[in-house]
Amino acid sequence: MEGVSRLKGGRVAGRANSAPAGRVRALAAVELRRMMRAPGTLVGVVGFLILLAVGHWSYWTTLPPRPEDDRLFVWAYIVAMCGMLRFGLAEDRELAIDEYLVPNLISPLRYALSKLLATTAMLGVFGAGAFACAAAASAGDLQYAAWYTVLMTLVVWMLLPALLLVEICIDTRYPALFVLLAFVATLIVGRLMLGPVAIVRLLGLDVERYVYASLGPLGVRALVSGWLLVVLYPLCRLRLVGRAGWSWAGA
Amino acid sequence: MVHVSGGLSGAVPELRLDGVSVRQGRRLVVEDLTWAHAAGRIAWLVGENGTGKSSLLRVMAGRARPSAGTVTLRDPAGRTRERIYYKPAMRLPGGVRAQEWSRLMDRLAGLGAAEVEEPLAALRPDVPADRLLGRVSTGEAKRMLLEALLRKPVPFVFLDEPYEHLSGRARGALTEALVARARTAVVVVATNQPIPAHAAGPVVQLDGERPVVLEPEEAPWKG
Repeated sequence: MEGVSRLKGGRVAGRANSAPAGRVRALAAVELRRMMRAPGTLVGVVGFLILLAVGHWSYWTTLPPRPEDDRLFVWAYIVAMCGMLRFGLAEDRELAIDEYLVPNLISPLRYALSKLLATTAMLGVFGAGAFACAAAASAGDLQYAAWYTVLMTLVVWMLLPALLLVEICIDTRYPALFVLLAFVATLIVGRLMLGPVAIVRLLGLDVERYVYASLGPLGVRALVSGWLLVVLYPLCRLRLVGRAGWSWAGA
Repeated sequence: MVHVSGGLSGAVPELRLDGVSVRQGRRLVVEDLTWAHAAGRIAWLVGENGTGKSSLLRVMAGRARPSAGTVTLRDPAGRTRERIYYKPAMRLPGGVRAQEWSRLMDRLAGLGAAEVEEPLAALRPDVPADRLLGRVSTGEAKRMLLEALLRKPVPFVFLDEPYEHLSGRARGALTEALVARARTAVVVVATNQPIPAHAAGPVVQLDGERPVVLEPEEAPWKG
């Protein structure tokens, strides 16, 4: 069963060796630890805690009736995400570790899956931590802690395709900062062109505090974002193939 | 004219280049190279900096396309997609502990560190398990990268400047491991370091656009 692989001058096609699913989990576990130990994560978590503390300090030192706002939870979450949220593709490119792993040791698809798995796990871990901190700071107001955590998790999930695009295009360790800038620019331009109500509705952000049903439009967008990640995978693979993918033509 | 190294028989993995030209940007660095090499001995790509060794190796490894010509890999077991490629720019991720990396490599390379035999085992540096990879020396990092890659029993191995940053002992271990691997796999090494005499093999010398292919007896062995 002799095999022949020919590479001719022409288009570079991508193909890689296969690997068991356990390798995805193993790589994802290492990626998750990398994310947790990244300096940006520490900065993000500290920023989150400071902003949440400031928000609750202001809340608890106000005489009743107290304002019904997010007590800086949203800003704290944004700061945290700017520091810690990443797939790590751009950082891997900088280290050329993507080219080491793909396809020497793992296929492009499994590499991408492990990145997604690690980022999802990181969002889950941080979400749980944010919920616990918010619950503690609000003296056990679980409704407040849970609703805002779900809101921000959906917002972040909705923006993951933008994060992936940034990492594909720009070599940066802080892609979420670029996403935030793009998001703010979209809001400003959208506000001017469509009006504030329309742009908020378009992004699914017309939510009602503590009403989970009002998160429906945002949930739909987050769901669509999941599919968008799948749609964007070929682009991600192309970026890998440009540096690391197999180039071959079957005999 | 086809330069054949190692006598192609179809019984071992083979690499064949037919009229291959390689560009670095707009500059043509390799023109019309026709060469064939079979497993048995290490093949060396040598030449001064900027002569196109790395570009040619990338083309051989399938990491880039030639501007003209064809690269053919042939393997009696049909594993032509199983290749490893290494370049000196590859670095370890700093936020991972040595033990975590080692476990990951056990899983990805399909061969546990404990199962690795000499001479490859001698390449593995003695790094404390809890040390972050960002704190290991460059030489140790290179050894860890190479050792893990070479654990994978693939029929095609392409290494770009693998001796860079290695100590004398590590160089010896790497050469021994490559000599052993080259018996059953196509091993091509691009280097501008002295080539160890006992690792003699065919040499593709790149000093102009037209590469010169030298057989071991013709090659200017330095080491």
